[in-house]
Amino acid sequence: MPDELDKLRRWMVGQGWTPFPFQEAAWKAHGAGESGLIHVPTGAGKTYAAYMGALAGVMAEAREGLQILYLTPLRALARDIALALQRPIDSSGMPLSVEMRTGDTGTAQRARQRAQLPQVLVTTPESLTVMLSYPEAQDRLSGVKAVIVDEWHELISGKRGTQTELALARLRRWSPALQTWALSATLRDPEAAAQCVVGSDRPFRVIRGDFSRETRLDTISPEKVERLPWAGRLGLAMLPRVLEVLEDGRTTLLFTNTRSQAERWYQAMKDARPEWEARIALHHGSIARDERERVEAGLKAGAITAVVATSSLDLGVDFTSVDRVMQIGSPKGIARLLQRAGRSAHRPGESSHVVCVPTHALELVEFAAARDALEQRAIEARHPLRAPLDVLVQHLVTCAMGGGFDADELFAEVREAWSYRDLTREAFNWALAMVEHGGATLRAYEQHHKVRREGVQYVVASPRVARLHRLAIGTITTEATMDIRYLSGVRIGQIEEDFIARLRAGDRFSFAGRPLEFVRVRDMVAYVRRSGVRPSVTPIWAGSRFPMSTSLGEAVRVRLERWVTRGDEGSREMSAVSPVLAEQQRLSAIPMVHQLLVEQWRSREGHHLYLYPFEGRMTHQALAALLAYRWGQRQPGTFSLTVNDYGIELLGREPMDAADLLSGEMLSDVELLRDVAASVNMGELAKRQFRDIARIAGLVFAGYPGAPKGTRQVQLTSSLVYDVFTRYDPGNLLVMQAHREVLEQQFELTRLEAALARLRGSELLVREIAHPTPLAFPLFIDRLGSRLSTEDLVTRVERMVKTWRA
Amino acid sequence: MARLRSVVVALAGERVELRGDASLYWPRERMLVVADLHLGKTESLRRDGAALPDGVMDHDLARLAAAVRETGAQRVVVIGDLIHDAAGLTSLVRTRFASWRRQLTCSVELVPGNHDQRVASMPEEWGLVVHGECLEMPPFTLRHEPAAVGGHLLCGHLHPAIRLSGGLDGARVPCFHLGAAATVLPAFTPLTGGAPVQAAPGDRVVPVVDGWVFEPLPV
Repeated sequence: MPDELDKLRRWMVGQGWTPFPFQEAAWKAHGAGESGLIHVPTGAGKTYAAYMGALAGVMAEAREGLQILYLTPLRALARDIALALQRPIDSSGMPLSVEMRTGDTGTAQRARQRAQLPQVLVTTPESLTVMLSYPEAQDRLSGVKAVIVDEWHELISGKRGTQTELALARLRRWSPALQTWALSATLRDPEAAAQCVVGSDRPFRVIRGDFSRETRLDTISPEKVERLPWAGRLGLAMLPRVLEVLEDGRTTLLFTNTRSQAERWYQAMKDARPEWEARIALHHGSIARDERERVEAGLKAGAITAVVATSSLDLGVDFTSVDRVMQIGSPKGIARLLQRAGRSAHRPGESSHVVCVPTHALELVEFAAARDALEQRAIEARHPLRAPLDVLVQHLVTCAMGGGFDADELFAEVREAWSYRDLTREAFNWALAMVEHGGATLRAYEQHHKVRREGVQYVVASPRVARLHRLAIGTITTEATMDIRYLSGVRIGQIEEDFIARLRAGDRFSFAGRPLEFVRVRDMVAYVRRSGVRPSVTPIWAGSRFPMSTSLGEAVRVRLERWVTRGDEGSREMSAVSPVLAEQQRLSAIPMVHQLLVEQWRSREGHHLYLYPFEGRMTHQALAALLAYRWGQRQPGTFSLTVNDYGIELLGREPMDAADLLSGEMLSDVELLRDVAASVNMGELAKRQFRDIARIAGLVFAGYPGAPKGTRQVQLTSSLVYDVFTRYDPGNLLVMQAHREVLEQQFELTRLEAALARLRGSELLVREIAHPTPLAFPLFIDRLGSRLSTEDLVTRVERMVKTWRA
Repeated sequence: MARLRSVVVALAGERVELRGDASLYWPRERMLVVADLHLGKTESLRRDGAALPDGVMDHDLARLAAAVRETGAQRVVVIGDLIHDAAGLTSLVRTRFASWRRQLTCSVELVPGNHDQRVASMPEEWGLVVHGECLEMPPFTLRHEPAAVGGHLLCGHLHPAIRLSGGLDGARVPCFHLGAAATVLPAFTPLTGGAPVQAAPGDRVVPVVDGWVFEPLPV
């Protein structure tokens, strides 16, 4: 094996690359049979660090059959990775092959791979799970010697990570000497991430790059601070300054936080510089794949010099040609900002640079705070999920299909996955009962008996169950979207149905940077034609709004306190935002780190109460619902709730006493789960979330390929399932489990618990206000219309019809 | 405006009752009209992999029987989509409906809808009077889907719903949609989605919520 490694090393040198010490360290560790995590910045050469050691082993043995599995979270990256993995093999002249297997892989190739797998396979967590579901899985996969999990930081804290852990546990059972290497950038706790990928109680090694890369953060501050609207909305006001920066023609990625924002900026750039049309582009997850690929190719070739993108470009594709990264609007989190900034420096040791552009005056505080956090390396922690049962339920069926399982053995195996290390036998049995006879309600219905016992083995109940299950494998959850096409049938991309549902024929909107006119919907396709007229609306994609992270929220609170006690400390951002903060202070107050600011305002609409925990919008949503629910238990009422990353607005018809509303009892974590579940239930939020849970746990079926049910239809069905369960079978465990999932996923329950603890210890700073303050104003104008009521629907309708005006 | 169990309106000069159980009762003919029961939808969705418990069909049939009892109707006319599809027409569904039917002394009639055409014919043991596409009952024409017809159209198919809002609150609820030439009934079963009412000037809606209706509202 050292010989093979030497060959590979020589090949790298021949390519002009000197192996880095961390790569040598990784090869050595691999040679010693170790597993672990390679933690170095993006673009530093992680792939070869993990791959060469494993490849050397494969070359030494030169046998048939799959030996290296390379998992990537993005199937769009699979091709580039496969090419990179193929190169050293080509140079060696050995008859080893690298193939891909993703959701995009054709049926013929998949069938061939079932018969004969290559030595090296690039795949996704979902496709790996599908492979585990074939009866011959153990034969095919027990020869795997190494699994490389790329971009582990992207997977670890989601259900895809859990799914990966379960798959790895299965592979390890078949191949006890299996080595696992995760690749990751920007993690707060690499040891925990390493433990998670190698499995419970197994030894691991963390390999770090020895170059620490500097990240520089600059801001384009508004020149004339006094002309800032005091409420802080900047919108596209910074566009001219951004265009000035782009004049030099250096390749730039402009990251936005939402797809609608990306659309708006791209449109505005084209309007302002029509002559740039050919060299600027738009890239987001709703745009058709071939269009995105065209943009990526143009970027690599240098034909396109500016791309407005969302997180669709956060990952992957190696853009060595990118000179500059701009962040439009809040960075939302430190790890995300680091990742994005990293796109500007794809050689190890280079410093990266990000230019931040505020869209709202208060974002200047976030930029200053983000710089503080970057300096202190206060990256967000990413925690694996705790034993999500819907993923386990899916896994049980997968294992039953893939050769069957013995319950005791599988229980032990599942607990080797870090996320399930504390799984109780009771919970395991519950999941098993659910797939064996559908739980209590569905006991009578054979089609919900997914596995059955044959002696001590659990096997899949029928070929039909197997077929449906294989189609439904995966935990990626999607918004309800539909294809959007020209009348000619040419596909433009995917658009949210909620958005389309609000349009009437003839309405104009902007999509993929094109002005379009809506024509009609037919067979789950939205048909449009080109419009010569400027669009009136921009689609909003619900799924693309990330909450501000805890790390950034903390840094912002610290920055605000420092502004009060020490002034702007020479920071350009803080100096630029000073007039807004001064106005906030004049009208109300700026909270110290240990304080919770509450503003009360009486308007014609009712009694407004604003509070500012700075915990991000998901946590705020849960907190708002919780407070409204608990308050409503004392006095039935209906509240309008609005949240953003900074705070919450509660609007009610009756006055709310701030001290009562935020008492220790109201912020208590006693019966938190029950109360949040109840508030979520009534807030009608659970229904939407239940769609994903129902699909993962196999309660609804998303459709056959070629004749997929629309997501809308899945949504309709799952909301019916939800309604029917809550109405006819309220104690059903599926619903209760769904609630837990909803709480963790949608509301970051863990974060909510931490936030409640902090708020209980905070000093209340209550201010009566005469107008919305700079902090309150965005909440005031962004009224989401989310509401929570503790009254029954008939009573509410009764009141609504009284004041009804057509 | 308070909740009511039923509200009386004049349609094409005839007094009819719009009821909180989503049925329409025409006293002069002692006729109860309902639309969109989608019997067997639970079973059909189950076949597609949805894990639905029982209860909806029994609940719907019990509500319909209660409506017959309360009104003293001699004819029940289902204006389409009595059943969901062939897959949902399981033996359980067939026997349940048949025994439910036997308890009624009135006639049970069907003006078939698009979903009813998913089977060649209705189960014989259901004892249905099956009409053609239109049932003429001057001044009304009963039909499943909206169309230009001679009389004032009573139809279903659309599952109309209205988004109400007022003050801080808002909710989408099923409704009767009262137009100049047609009245659209809400779906009788709750196991359907709803489509927003496409209203013309002068149209009104009667919201239906958990067994209650309200006075007609302009839309």
